[in-house]
Amino acid sequence: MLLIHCPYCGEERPELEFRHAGEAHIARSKAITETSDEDFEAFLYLRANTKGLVYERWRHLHGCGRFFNAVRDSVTDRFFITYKAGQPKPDPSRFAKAVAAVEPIAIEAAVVVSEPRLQPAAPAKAPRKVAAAPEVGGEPAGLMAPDIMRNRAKAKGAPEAALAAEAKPKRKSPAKAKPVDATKASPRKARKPVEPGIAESEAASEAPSKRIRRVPVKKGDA
Amino acid sequence: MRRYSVFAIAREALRGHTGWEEQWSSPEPRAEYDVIIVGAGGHGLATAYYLAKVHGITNVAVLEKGWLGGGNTGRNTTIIRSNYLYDESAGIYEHAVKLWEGLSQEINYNVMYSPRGVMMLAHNVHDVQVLKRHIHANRLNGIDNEWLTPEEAKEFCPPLNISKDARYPVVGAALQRRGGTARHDAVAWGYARGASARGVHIIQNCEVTAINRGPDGAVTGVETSRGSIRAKKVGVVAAGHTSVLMAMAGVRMPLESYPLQALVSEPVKPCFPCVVMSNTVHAYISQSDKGELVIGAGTDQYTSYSQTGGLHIINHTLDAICEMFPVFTRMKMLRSWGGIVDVTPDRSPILAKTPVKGLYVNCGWGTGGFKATPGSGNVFAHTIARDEPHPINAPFTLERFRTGRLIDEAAAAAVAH
Repeated sequence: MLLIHCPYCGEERPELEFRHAGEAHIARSKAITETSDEDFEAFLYLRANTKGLVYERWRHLHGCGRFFNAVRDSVTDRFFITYKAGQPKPDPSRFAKAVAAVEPIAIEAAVVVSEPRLQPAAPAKAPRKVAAAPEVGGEPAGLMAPDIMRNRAKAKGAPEAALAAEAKPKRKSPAKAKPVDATKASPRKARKPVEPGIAESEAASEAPSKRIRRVPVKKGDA
Repeated sequence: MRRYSVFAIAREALRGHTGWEEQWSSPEPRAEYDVIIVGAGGHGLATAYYLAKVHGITNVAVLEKGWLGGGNTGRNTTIIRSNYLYDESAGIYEHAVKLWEGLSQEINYNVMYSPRGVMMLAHNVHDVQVLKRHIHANRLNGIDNEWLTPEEAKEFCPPLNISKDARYPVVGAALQRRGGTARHDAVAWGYARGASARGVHIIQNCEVTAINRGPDGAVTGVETSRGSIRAKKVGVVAAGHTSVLMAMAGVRMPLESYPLQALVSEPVKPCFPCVVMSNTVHAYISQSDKGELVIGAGTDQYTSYSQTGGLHIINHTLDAICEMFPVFTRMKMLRSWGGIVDVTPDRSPILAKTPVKGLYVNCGWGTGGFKATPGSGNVFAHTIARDEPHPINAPFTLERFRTGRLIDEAAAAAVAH
């Protein structure tokens, strides 16, 4: 289930409270009588349906009831930012880094997960500068589900801040992460929205077996 | 291609099973083909098969970025039926059911088509009216569909709970006896084998990265991860990724891609004799020949290419199943997965020529494309070979979203299917 930040209520709430409302920034023609069939077709039916960065509307149906917009990666389902209706469309270049960073980081997270199995003695990689989940909210990390921790970490600052944290390059050359190809790092796993901060903090503080279970990766059809 | 038969089995038994040949070959791509099909799922492979078999076009390549049948063909709940409301839909789905009936013999491959009956439940007055309307419309189109009382429904499917105390009591059902299930993998494999035997190249691990067009705008070929391949005709049969591929040719599509999840239980002995669907509590269920209960329902609410969805959707589906079949409340679920389905605004498919010369598209099957596999391939092959649609798929154009002549099965069923 997605956790979505409502820009009006100012907090992350579960997807159950929201309704997806289609692609955002589709303007209705101001001169309906002069609109051609082609333009009506585009307005009513044609959709970008992008694989990658999507701009979409959501409605906080079981909350404030208001429509707002969001930017999400349709490959990982990770939200980058939500903003109020009527605000200008954020420039895609702002998210380019974050989108590009997703894949190598996710692969690395998968490596961190599977490494202990191969070499139990190997130390976890050096902690990164991303806000570590256990420090957030004052609750012991063990009591919270990974995605709650993740979103608390995000909710702590404004979505902008969370975005900035995500967009920061996590390592000097993301491409380097790829060749470290542990046998367990399947491409499907690599696609998951694994938050680097989570895998990292857990890697540093927990037993290997637990670590494997707690990374929020769902298995697809085998 | 060596035919499969009881004699072949006997012969191989005597030879220690050393003589079985590969079901399809994996050739290197040629520089040019007459037709390129993008996507080696059931629909794409069926298209290639009928191009070769019916239209004699054998210089065909089917390009697949992953492995054959690994997309929605391998992820669906294998339900086959043709009880759609509108004439256009009835035409294409019934065409498919008729092909299903002889498919195993036709392609010499056991697709395990099992017309065990598809029963759709009514839980309220609205359901009764809608289903009865469907029944009458279907019978006018020569498609079998009949009304059952709750007691008759229970007799047809003994695990069904018809108690009046249920949260959504069953007040009747519509039954299409010729509906049923088939083995989804076998459909892809059988078509692949048949097409390959007729000279079609099936090229896996070959992702299309661009669609090339000449100065006149017509298609000239595709760029792939294994080099560039020329062809004057390209058919896109890429399900959830259709928008991505069509964007390569500069065509915007009336499609949105959603995750659709399904799940199976632990295998148990045969206990569930048919397919049961309920649009109101929204779940459908059948039992595979392996013994697993195969369960599905609606899509997640947001567009995505992640091939995974939220657990609450599955939870909701199982709530519905347990409500209808209390006997299954203690079953353990074994696996769940997601596929990406391309949904049109009117929930009917698009099988048509496009504004780009030489580019054809077969998409928009949404959450229910498996049932149409043979019919879809059959008429799409006709469309590509003749450069004009078959009468059956003529209404399923891209232009209907401009003219307004929709085939609005979404409104007809009030549920994505």
